[in-house]
Amino acid sequence: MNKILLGRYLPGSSLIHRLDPRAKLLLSFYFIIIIFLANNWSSYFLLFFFMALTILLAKIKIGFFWKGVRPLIWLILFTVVLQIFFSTGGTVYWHWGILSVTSTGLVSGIYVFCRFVLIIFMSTLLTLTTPPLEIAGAMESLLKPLKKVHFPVYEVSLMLSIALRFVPTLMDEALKIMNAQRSRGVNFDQGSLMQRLKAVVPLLIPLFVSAFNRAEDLATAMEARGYHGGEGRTKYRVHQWLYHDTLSCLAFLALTIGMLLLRNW
Amino acid sequence: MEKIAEIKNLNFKYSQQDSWLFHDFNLAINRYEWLAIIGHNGSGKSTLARLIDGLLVPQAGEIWIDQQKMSSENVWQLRKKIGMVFQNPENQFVGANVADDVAFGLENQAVPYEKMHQRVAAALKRVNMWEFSEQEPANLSGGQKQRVAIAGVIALKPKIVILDEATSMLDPAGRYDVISLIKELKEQEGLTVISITHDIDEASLADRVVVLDDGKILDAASPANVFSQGQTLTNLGLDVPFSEKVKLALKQQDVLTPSEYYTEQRMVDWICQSILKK
Repeated sequence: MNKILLGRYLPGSSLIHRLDPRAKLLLSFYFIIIIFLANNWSSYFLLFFFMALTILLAKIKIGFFWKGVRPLIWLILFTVVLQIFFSTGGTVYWHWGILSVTSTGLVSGIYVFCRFVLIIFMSTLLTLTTPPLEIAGAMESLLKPLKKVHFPVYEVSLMLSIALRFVPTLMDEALKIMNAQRSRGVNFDQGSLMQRLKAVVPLLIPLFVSAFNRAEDLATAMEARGYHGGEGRTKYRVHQWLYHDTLSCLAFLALTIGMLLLRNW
Repeated sequence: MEKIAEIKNLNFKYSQQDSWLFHDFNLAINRYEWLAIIGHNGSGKSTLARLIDGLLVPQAGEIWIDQQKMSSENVWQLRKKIGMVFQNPENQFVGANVADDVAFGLENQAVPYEKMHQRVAAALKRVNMWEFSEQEPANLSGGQKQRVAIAGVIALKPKIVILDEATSMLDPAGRYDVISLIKELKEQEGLTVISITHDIDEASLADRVVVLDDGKILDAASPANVFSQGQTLTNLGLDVPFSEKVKLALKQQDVLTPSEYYTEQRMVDWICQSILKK
């Protein structure tokens, strides 16, 4: 279970760690959009340079980023291979039926690879430097304008934070039920597809039932502690926009200008 | 003595039940009292706790908290005077980490930012969990989670604390820890404690023990009086304190034992004396 990098947070006190989570969330999204502006080698070089700079600032070992890429490596390679074999244009190096390797194909394959890696690196950086709770909090304050159209912002963010808080609990429980069922003779990793699907039932049903019980207990405990809806609550965690948040926005602005210049070189 | 909570002619049943769980039930709880409610499974202990907190609504009868009658209008007001600690430490942990969980109740009461941070810090220091304030529940032991739940309760400064089998999922060390913490808090903050429990050692700490059997009060007296009728309790499916067990075993050896309830220490003294006499 600890192979999963999703939502893993590495505590630290670097500049990137201390950034306002709202800024981090917005800027990460912005970076992903910016990536699609890149259309030549120099612009990709700039993006990688920028990425390397932020990773250095976050003081996180590059190995963690590789772990983020690894689960998706087959998807990436598949897309890259498709790009290489099915693109046309430029010098033809190799040709067989509808498959051909061309110079544009090779270049766009490498571009696709770069895009994937950059997107994964940035999202990994976001989750590694921001506690899930802060991401949930940031989402709540960013979604606030939606309150005007009666979108239940507070409820959604409460659900998100409770869901995040129960992920490890439910994982533990799933493992416990699995072992309990194994000790009764259920075989989870052998047999045909159908048999395996059937073996999951004695895991899923107890897990569901216990999730219901947990939900009821939690709702009672929340009510006993005076929770009656999102209205009229104060907040324990308040985000503060500091000067280094503005600074990072300026850095992204510089990056955008640089990208636009390089794009039309 | 001044009553902090009073239940008058309470009638309650769950919708799926045919017979009344509580029928014309009366109970008064004194201010600054430690009341233990014991009884077998299904005797209505936890339901009683939920009725006192207004989490369940009785079909008939009145519940008075701190000189105010509970109604659907003032239930949120009255609930502020009551803090509850539930059985399962995992399932009552609302916050994503310790400090957020303690703050949850304060957020609900719209306590201002500065004051909230002070009260969260004070409550966590009070239960010796301050150094864990940024920890997630997955990294805490059962006893630690239960201490966080208590911190969440005392941060709200309630007058009544209800422990709904709060120690039943803890190991003996964690149980001792939680109980002695509550005892200390009760003295210092002037709390009224209602402890619902299977644990007989916990009940023996109380000022008064109420024995509940199918929604009826079988006995309400000091622990000494309740535990002296060892056999009746055993017949109800309840346990008796260790000193009573020793007495029972001695009786079977035809040793003449005192009829009143002795604490463990008194029992030790008594045994030492009786050996000296021989």
